[in-house]
Amino acid sequence: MNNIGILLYPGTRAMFYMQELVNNKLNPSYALILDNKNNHFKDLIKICKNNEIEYETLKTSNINDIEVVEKIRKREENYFIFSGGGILSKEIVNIKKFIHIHPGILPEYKGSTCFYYSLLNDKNIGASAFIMKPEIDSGEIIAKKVFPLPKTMDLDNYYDPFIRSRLLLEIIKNRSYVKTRLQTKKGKDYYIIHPVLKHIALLDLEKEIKN
Amino acid sequence: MVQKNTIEYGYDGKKPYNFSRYKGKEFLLEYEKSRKEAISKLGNLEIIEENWLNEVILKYYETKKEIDNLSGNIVLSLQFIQNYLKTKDIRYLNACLKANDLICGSLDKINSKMSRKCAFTSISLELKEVKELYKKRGIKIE
Repeated sequence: MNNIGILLYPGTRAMFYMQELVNNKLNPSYALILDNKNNHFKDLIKICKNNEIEYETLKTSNINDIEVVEKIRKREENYFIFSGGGILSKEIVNIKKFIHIHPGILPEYKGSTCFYYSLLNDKNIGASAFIMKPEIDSGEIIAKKVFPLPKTMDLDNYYDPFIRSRLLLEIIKNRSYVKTRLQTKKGKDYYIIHPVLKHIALLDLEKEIKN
Repeated sequence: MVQKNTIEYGYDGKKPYNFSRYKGKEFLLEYEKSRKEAISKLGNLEIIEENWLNEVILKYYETKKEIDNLSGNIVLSLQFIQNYLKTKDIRYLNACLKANDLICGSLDKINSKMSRKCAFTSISLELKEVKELYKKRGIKIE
């Protein structure tokens, strides 16, 4: 896969992304791995080495660190896959096109913990791929997809990175990231879900799984 | 010594809400218990009727003696629950739950009768609406 780099912020999501890409022979042409002291840091290096992916590491957990900006600026890749770690600064977003997979259908579900809100409101779970802009979840849309309800209750650590990596794979395989469309509706911004509402969403899901 | 296997509803506005762990129905039972305790601590009061909520919110700052450290959160919480009742937009119930966590963690600091009545109303309505949400989904927690 030429011309696509990946900014790896070690964690479960970054692992899912890399495994999905390499398993499907869609290796990124370059990986920048941040040493955020997460256990997956070494695993990501191993994946890069085993699959002959050019990589560099940086001792920082700040995705907007000046060194991160400089490393990315110097690269030839036009697109970079974003694997989390916070909100990218305006400066870095303006250098390259960053592909982000958001766990919610945009523009209806912007912000945080959208999984749980869409379970509560619509009894479904979706994801959207878009090119990042400085404003949260407001960039041009690449693709959106509604996924079947999970068979697991572990949404945060399993189903979330799983569906994100599935949508990422689809858009990379089809090269659909080159065709984007503006978000026309304003949508709603959601904030971290309260544990009581999260429990209602999950108990409802548990009922569905049992049925 | 055998440890008691209980789940505490430990939200008092000090713990972060992100990545909260799933603890099953017991968590909701603990939430209900904790809110009922707060309601009973506030005293034997009456819920402010829905059509009067707006007036109560707008009038709140008219009497200086009614203002205490928690006033801001209490008025906000009432406004959130009122917005939820009007719109059924879950984001307002979410914000109300967070404001009421803060209020419930500092009940002893509420001095005025009016503030107590407003907090009583907001917490009671929040609990009623949360229970309504599980009922609608056929979730039985008892």
